[in-house]
Amino acid sequence: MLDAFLSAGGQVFHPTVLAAMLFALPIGLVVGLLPGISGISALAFLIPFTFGMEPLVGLAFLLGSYTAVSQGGSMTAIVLGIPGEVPNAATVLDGHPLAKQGRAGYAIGAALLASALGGIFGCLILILLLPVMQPVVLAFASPENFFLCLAGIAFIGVLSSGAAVRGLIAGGLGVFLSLFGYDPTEGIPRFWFHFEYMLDGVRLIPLALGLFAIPEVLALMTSGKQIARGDSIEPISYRQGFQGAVAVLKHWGTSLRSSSLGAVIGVMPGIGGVTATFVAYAMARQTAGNPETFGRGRIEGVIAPEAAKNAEEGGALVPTLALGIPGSSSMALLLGGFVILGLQPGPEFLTKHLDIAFALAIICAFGNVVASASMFMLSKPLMQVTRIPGRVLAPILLVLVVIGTYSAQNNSYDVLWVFIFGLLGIAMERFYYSRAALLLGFVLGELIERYFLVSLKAHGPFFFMRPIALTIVALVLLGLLWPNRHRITRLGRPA
Amino acid sequence: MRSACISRRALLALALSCGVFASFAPASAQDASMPLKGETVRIYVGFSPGGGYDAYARMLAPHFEKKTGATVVVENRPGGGGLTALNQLVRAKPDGTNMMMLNGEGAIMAQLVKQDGVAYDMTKVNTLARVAHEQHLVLVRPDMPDTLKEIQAAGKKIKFSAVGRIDNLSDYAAVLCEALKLDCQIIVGYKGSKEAGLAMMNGEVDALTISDGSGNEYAQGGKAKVIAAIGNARSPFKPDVATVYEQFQLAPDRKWYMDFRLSIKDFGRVMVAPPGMAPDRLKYLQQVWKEILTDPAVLAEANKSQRPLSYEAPETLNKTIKEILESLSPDKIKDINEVLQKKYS
Amino acid sequence: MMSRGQIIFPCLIFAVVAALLASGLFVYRYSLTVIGFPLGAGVFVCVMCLVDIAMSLTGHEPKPPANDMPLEPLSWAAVAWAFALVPFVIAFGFVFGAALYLLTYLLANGTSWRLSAIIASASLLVTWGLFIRLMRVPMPVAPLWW
Repeated sequence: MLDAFLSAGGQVFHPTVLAAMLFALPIGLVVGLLPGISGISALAFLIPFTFGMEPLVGLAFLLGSYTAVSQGGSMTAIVLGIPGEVPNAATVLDGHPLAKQGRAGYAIGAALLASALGGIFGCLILILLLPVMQPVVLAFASPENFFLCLAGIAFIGVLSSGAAVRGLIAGGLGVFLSLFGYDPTEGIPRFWFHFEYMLDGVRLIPLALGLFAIPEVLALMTSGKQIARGDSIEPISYRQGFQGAVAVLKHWGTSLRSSSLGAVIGVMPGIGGVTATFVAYAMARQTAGNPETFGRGRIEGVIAPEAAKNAEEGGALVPTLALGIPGSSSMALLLGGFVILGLQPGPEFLTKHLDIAFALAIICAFGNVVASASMFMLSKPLMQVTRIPGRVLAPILLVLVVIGTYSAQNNSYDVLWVFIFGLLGIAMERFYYSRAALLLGFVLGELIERYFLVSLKAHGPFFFMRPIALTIVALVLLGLLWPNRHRITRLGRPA
Repeated sequence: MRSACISRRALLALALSCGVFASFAPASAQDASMPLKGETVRIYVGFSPGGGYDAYARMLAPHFEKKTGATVVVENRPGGGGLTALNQLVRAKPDGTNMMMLNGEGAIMAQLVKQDGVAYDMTKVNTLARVAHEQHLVLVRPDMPDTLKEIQAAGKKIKFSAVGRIDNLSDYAAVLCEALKLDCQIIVGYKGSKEAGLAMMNGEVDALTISDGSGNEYAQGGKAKVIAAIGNARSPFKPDVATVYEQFQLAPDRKWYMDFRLSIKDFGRVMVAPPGMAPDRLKYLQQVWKEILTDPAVLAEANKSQRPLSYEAPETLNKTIKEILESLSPDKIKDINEVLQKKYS
Repeated sequence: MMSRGQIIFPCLIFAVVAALLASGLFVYRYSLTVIGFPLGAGVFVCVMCLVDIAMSLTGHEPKPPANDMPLEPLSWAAVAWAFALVPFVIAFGFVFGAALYLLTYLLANGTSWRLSAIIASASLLVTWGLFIRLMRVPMPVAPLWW
């Protein structure tokens, strides 16, 4: 195995492979910066270019752009308050307030290093797990996935800072909205009222962009002022960025915990990136001091989702390579790329092409680092964006959001729904209903129903009596009760 | 100075608008043998990028461009399980500039069982060619018996995984269970066919009926074994695995549902065009696709990217549609509904 | 009054969710498997909305934490401008609609002719050049009513 690893290293650090990756990086960065367009679109766009490439060169090309996309998405989340990709919505929560305080560079620096480290961590997990991948991935069936999603929902309560009832309304509404459209077992479309568009229910991208982007744009249009509006705005310099990077190292506990969480969630094929980022954010809130200051510019609130997201993508390569089962929808596209390049991920792949698998992990790690470094060099112009007057920036953003939304599924009605959800987002922001909770409920609600019904059918009513499922429940309870542990232990003592 | 600025701007605006209108103007005199030359042709795909239909469309698009001189754009229009795009296609202009890479089996089944959201009529849609069709394999977990006969004899309940009530996975499982009188439960609700495959591998279900390409992948590495092929011929991926018909002598009434489902399978992945097309334009398109899909170079390229082609002429396909959609009695349709959707849930 | 404004939102949510559930139960008559989860989630939301309304009426509404940055007030003009993009896109298509919208908005809000024209042209370049030509996104250039 060691020789496979060394061979992989030798193959990766070959001029053509490196060149392919570096060429694809800027494309990924640009795509990531455009709201609404996700990594999937970047991959779909790039795959035809890989026809005829050598396998490793083509993979470096695809993975290189892919790792860069999430860096770009984090930047718009921080600077504009608009998640570039849906999982970046968690970064908006504390990243954008920092930008509003004029400390965008601080958040950017932290985000970049956190994602680089998280990505490397995810790839490390990939390398370590490669020999034992299959049993790990196969240990998670529908009941385990059900409890994982339930765990995610449990953290909704954590996200609603002090306004518990409103947070629960938001989360519940998110779950409710996710259930529109085809039901998983009967195939009967719910609440479609004979509008063809509604056969598939509420769509994720219009929802996410509407909730987060429209209120931001409106605020900018009303005030006409720049995003950075705090009382003491620091001058634009790389110094902010370095301070942010240092913060990641200072909060090494948060970074490590979030990366681990992300990697673990990534390994499970049933759960996606949004869960990883939000649960990591909620966990950071639970374990840090003064949780009520989250949502107003706590740097841990930026570090946690960023580390988790990139770790998750490294982890998602595990089931993709081990079984040919895509760990995320972008992995599904990557699988298509594999096939075009003549490779077939699956059990055979690991025995025949272990060196390529290792090479992929190395490319992933390397890509994360290079993407972060490149984005860091762009951080000054990004900080400049927070100084552009709102009356110029706002319409540009609105146009980008609309075009980006259309590009997601080539559907004009998506654009209409962005505005409808924009109204919802405005109301929720004004009245302190957590939009993050709604988004999380939306992503998880449909999954929970699906896994519940399948678990019930496949395992009967006692489907929860499984060791891993029960462990998950125990861990979640531990995570939720952790901040209150002192109160609980005090309960046991005599007065 | 100001008037000069304005007139310069006016000229610019005029030039721009001329350009805009010019781009909307119809193309000039056509070449009779290449009526689509210079036109933009759209191939709709009812799924997001990255899936099989998308791959086929993108693989064939350049060949269509070469043969017709048109510019081809593959448009992904996901929704409604791939059927929303079909609904949109039948409303599009039937002049050869709109086509669709269609899941023909799914479209027919959805129309047959009168699924919500069907706004097309397959008997009126113009079929241009069949692009591919897939054999299906029966996979079971490694710890299950090696042959269907043993499974049938054991009489235990077998769980299959599937995505929806009328998708390939559940259809083939249902007709298999009906043919062999197996005690089956088809668990519907997995997110996709890969997740359904994973469910079999991790022991949540016992068996899976899936297309041969995917089935072959899953069987490698020892996590699943192929014990039968469903069809009238063996699968090219697994030529040593006997078909259900070879393994069992089935009475006609037991065979009926399997035969019925296989007749729909012959429809496969098809290239279709909107209804109401002029006959000569239709003939032209059918001829172009025939040439593309029987070209040895194209076939070789397709095999290399693991997307084999199998052309079938539209005349045969139209016959199939008529048989399925027009000659079944309402009672028989009710029976089909019962077997495919309700009996094994 | 603060309370009045606070209870409008949960009232609306309650009404919409209850109406949808009613349509599912009584008009479309979905079976239990189909309506089960939506019913559960919907009832939960409705109950929570009632709790929220009760809390607001009795003065227990959540107050934003003290050192929160105050939310900018929104003007109806801004809302109108934002939604105005929709008719522009419908009337002139994505490419030209976006460019014209940018031009109009920027000019109306005090940006110079030169900068507005530059930004509008950049928008043409990005929508047509990047999205339609380069990324092959099938965005309709023609007006949507065509």
